[in-house]
Amino acid sequence: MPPDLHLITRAKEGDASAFEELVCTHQARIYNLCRHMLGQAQDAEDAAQDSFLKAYRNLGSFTPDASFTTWLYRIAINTCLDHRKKPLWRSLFQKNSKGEEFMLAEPAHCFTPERLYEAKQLRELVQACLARLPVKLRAALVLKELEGCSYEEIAEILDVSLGTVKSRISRAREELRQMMRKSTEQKSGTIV
Amino acid sequence: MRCPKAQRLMSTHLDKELPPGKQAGLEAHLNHCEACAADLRASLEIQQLLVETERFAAPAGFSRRVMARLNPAGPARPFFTPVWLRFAEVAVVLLAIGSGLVFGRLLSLPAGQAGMGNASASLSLDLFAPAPAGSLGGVYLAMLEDGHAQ
Repeated sequence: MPPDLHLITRAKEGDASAFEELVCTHQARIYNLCRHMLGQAQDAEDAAQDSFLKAYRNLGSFTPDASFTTWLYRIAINTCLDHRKKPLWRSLFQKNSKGEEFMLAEPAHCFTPERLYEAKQLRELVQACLARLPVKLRAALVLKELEGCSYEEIAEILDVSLGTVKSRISRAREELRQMMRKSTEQKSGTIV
Repeated sequence: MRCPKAQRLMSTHLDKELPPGKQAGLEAHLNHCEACAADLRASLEIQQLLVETERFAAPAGFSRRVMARLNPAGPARPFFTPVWLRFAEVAVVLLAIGSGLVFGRLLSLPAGQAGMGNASASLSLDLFAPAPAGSLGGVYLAMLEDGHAQ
C-alpha cells in the first residue's frame, strides 16, 4: 500500500498524527501553489491551511483509486478561487513578513529599468506577469510549469477537458509573452 | 503550414507532446518564418524563467497551525462567551457573596439570639446592644447614642 494511502486510512479512523504526517508531506507543494495563485504570503498561508482543513473534513469522500496529490491540488485551487473573492480592503492591507504590523501591500510590479537588467529581476517580472494572468489561465500554467503536472492531471484538478487544458496553457503562454514583450519595450522606451 | 496554425501548435511543442507529423510540419515552418521562430525563442526563455522561479517553502510551524485548527485545544472556553452565560456567572457570584454575608452574620450572633426566626432582625444594629460598657464596641455605641440625643 502506498504510504499516503496508509496514512489516509489511519486519518480516516481518527488518527490525527497520521493526518499531520500527510500535511508535512504535502505542505510544500500546496503552499507553493497557493503562493503563486494568490501572490501574498499571508493569503497563501490562509488558503493552504484552509485547503488542508477541507481535505481533513472530506477525507471520507476520497477514493483510493485517485491520486491524493491531485485531489489536494484540486481542493487548493478551488480554495484559492474562493480567497480571491474576499473583500478588496483585505487584499490592500497585508501583514508584513514578520506578521507584526499592517502595511499597504506592495504593488506586484514596481520595476525600474535598471533593475530589469538583472536576471533575478527578470524572474520577478515573469512572476509579476504571471500574477496578472486571468486566474483560470494562471492555474493551468502554474500546475504545468511550476508543479510539473501532466495535461491529464491538470484536467482532473481543474475538472475540465484535455482540450480546454491545452487551450488554457497555450493562451496563458501567449498572454505572458505579450506582457513580457510590452514590459521590455517600455523599459527600452524609458532608457531612450 | 501557416503562422496561425504554427502558433497553435507551439505550446504543445513546448511540452514535447506534439505528434511526429505535426512536429515536422512546425519545424519546417519555423525554418523559414523568422516571426514565429522569434516567438518560440521567447516562449522557451519564459518557460525557463518559470522553471527557475522561486519555490516558496511553507512557513515554519505551518503543520502545527493546521493541526491546532483541527483540534482547538487552546482555552477551554471561547473568547466570546454568550451574554446569558455572563449574566448567570454574575448571579452566581452575587448569590455566593449574599449567602456568605447572611450566614456569617448568623454565625456571629450570640447563642441566645441564634434561634431568632426573623432574619432581618439579625441584621439590625441591636446586635451591638449587649456590648460590654468598657469595650470598644460599647464606647462606639455610646457615642452614637450621644449623637442621636443631640
